Amino acid sequence: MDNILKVPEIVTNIASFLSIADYLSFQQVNKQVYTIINGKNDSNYWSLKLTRMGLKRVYSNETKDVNLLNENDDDSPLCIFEVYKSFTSQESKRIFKKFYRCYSSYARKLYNNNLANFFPASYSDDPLKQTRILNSIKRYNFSNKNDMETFSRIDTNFNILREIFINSVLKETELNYQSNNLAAVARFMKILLTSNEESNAIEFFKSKADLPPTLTIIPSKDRLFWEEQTNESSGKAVVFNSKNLDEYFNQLRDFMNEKIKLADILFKDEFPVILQFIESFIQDVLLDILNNILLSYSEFLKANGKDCKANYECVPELYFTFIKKFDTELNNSVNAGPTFHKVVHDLLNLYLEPFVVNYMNQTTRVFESLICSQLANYDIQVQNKEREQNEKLYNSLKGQTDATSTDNTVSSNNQSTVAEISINAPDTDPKGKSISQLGHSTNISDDKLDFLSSFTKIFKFSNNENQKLKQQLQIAYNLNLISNNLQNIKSLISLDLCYKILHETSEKTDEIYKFHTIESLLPLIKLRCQEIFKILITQLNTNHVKPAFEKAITLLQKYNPNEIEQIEIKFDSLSPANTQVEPLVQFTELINIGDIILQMISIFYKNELIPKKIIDKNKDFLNDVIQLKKNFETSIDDFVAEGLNIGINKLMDEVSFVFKTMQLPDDYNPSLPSINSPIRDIKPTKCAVRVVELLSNHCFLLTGATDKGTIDVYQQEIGERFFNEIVKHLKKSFISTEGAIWLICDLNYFYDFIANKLKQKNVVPYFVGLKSIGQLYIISSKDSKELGKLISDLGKFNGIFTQEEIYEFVQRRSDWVRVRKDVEKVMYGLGIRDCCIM
Amino acid sequence: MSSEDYGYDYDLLFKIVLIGDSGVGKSNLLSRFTKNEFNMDSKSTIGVEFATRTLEIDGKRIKAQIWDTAGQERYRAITSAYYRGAVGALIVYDISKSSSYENCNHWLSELRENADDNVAVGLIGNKSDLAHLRAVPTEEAKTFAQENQLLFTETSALNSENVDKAFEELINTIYQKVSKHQMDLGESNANGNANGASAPNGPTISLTPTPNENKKGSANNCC
Repeated sequence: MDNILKVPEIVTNIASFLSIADYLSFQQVNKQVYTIINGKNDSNYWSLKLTRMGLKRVYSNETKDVNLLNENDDDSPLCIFEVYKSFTSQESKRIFKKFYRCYSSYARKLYNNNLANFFPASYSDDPLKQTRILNSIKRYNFSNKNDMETFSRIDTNFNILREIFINSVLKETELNYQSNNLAAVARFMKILLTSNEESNAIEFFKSKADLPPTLTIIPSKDRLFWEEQTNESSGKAVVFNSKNLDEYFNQLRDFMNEKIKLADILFKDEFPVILQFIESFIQDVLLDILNNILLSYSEFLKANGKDCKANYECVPELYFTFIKKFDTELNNSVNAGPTFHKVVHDLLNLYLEPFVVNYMNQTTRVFESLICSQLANYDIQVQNKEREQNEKLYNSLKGQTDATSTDNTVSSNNQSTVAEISINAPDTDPKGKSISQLGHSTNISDDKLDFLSSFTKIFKFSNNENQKLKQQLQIAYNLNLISNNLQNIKSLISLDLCYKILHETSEKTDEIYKFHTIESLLPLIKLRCQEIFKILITQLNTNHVKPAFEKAITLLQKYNPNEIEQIEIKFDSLSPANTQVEPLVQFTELINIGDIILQMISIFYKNELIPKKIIDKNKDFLNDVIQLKKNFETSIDDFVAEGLNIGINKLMDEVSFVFKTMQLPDDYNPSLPSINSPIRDIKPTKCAVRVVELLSNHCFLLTGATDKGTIDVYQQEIGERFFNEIVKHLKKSFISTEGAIWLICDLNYFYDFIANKLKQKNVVPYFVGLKSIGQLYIISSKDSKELGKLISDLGKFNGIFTQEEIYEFVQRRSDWVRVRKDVEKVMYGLGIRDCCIM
Repeated sequence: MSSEDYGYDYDLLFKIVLIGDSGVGKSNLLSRFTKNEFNMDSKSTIGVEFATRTLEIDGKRIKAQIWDTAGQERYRAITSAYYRGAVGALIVYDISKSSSYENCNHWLSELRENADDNVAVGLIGNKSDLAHLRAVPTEEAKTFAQENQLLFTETSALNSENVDKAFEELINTIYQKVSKHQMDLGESNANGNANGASAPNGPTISLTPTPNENKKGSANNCC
């Protein structure tokens, strides 16, 4: 048995499991053992204990202050862990001795569970020192870990003691808080924090910062929301009665500021309890309030007959109120440090983000229906107005029928009366007075009765006179209807409305874009803003611009200038000569408006979407927003092209009509002047003047209304078509050598218009060609052979006309029969009459 | 057709033709005389253009109906139509361009060939403002004019110099001729251009040719 102790391994191993007292005794067993656990092995024992207490073993003590080691008087249990943080193995026993001196008495008490008067009198008044000693004891006890029995016994008892201690601290804290001794409370908080009892500290703070339940009750709907949701001064949509809302949130804010102050007093900058507090406030209080407000708003909307699913529209206002009240307007907090406001902002963003996302998802739909309804309303207004006008017109004409059919016998001046009405009807004042004065002396309330009676009377006296009268009335009605409809083309698109909608789009984009401070939402914000823009274009296009253009084009198509002309002639209208194709004029106004809308959208796109980087022009060139915008532009362009095409058709109908009705036979084929007959001035014929007037009234309508390219195409088209009309007209005329002067005059006049007013270079050659054609007629019939040579020379006519055409033209000479033989001889080498059967 | 198409505002109507090479300034001379306008970048005339101006001589209102021709017309049939019934003509050349002066001979003979024998002719050296570029000496042109019994003036359509004078001299000459012609022939010659010129009021002179006009040139139509 004794021999075991001769083995150094066994001895050191045994030693390592011994408590201090046993170890020291073991050393004394015999010389052999003593020699084994001396020197290096001894210092190993002590080093291990120190290491277990958390000290660091170093191999040189150069950095150590040697003096410190020698001072053994001042080593207090409060700070010894601060003094010795590292050791070398040589000095391990000495250092451990110091720790032992400090804490062995406490350890013994704990081991024996002798807890009465645990701390010496010098510490009894200072719980903070006690806390520190307790922390140190716990640490010291780790040195006993080689002796598990001692260690665990001490540890168990220590924990009991500590619990008692903490409880008494909490009790004291509560008592001091009750007596409003905040300084003492702060001290105890420090104790709690020192003893790693943060959760207790937070719990305590929270228990002192409970929100008074009255503050969680949101104001009533009527106090919170406005019924009329637009602010007159700014034009912005406003949901909340901000005075009441602020009032409510100010209470909450003041409460928070109070708590910030409290946290500053209690915790100073030692533990950021306020951030946890604010987070739970946001989570538990603010989100509840937010949900309640949303619910309340939804009910409010429902009660006011609005879309209750639009309740998230209040989120932006609410969000920014939250940011303002619960971040910006909060006091600085020592407790939370300098980043306080930013951290709170981030917290708010974190918790409010789902609401913002919901809002953004909802708002595009709300926006779409808002725009849609505005456009629909406008459409209804226009239709109502139109119907009203038509009814008024019809009633007034019917009233006239009544008057004329009662004094049926005086039918001789019927026509003139009807004519008068047809002129006056469009300008009838709203109450229809002038009509009732003209026709019947009844007032408007009897109109319906009159209408009915006149209606029956018409049937009673359905003789020829009345039939005719009715027909005339119908014509007059239709005429006025057409002119009213034409006036209405302009009102098919409302610039004001478009402007308003664009303004709303801009507001909505701004509203959404305001959230760009929440970085995680940026992609969604961009997406929603793009969607808003797409909605704008789609709605404008499908519900406003497109139907307007379609209707305008239909009206254009229906318009028959000659019909109107005839009616005008028939009724001997007082209006000056009609030198305008009315629907074309109106249509160009529509083009103008369409162009303005396109420009507004472009400006919006450039000034709002690009600077805010909602769309990156360079990256997103395939983006559907840009595509949609382009499509819209193209569709307007197409409408413009179609409308203009029809308009040009109508214009050419009008030109052709003027040629047919105003060009007199002797314009180009005057009867031979007798000695006393006057000679006509050499100047363009009335017909030519009128045609050019007609053209110049229409060629320049588009100037400023659309892009140069469209205008050029439009004017060139008019020029070419006009040229064709002239050719057609020439081929129907008879021109004598004498009359050729006037033809040349007219052709010069046309050329002048095209070359100097229209200034479309592409069509000028056509009119140069026409000038050459004019010269075919001035040639004397004696020069018939030369004439033949001339028409064979295509270069003379700039290649504008084919040989056949020129031949057709020359046949319009009044002396064709006489010159034909010579001409054909030159052209074909021999005249037709020279042919004979061989 | 209303009466406003007929000019009652003159006593005599003279047809005058402007001839000469292309680019000598015929159109600008005309626009200067009738409208007091000048167009720096006017294009060359196509076909023929007309303009009128009424002057008063001896208390008679004389309407000058001036035909401005292209100067490039290749077809004799067309040029002869221009000359038909003209009682006066101005042959215009450009003093800075000798070729235009040299061509005056050609223009004169064409005129003599096509127009009435009594036609009054003026020679006009235009663009007198371009004195520093002068290519045709005044004296030479003057001599040429005297030899051919032409009136002669140098004008500038650009700065209006002598434009009215040139036209007025020509119209005056025509007027003298017409009066003399009338005295010489009485009312016997119905084929002349000044038929019935004695009537004091209303349009009296027909410049439109009568179909059976018997002149040299296109008389023989046989192959």
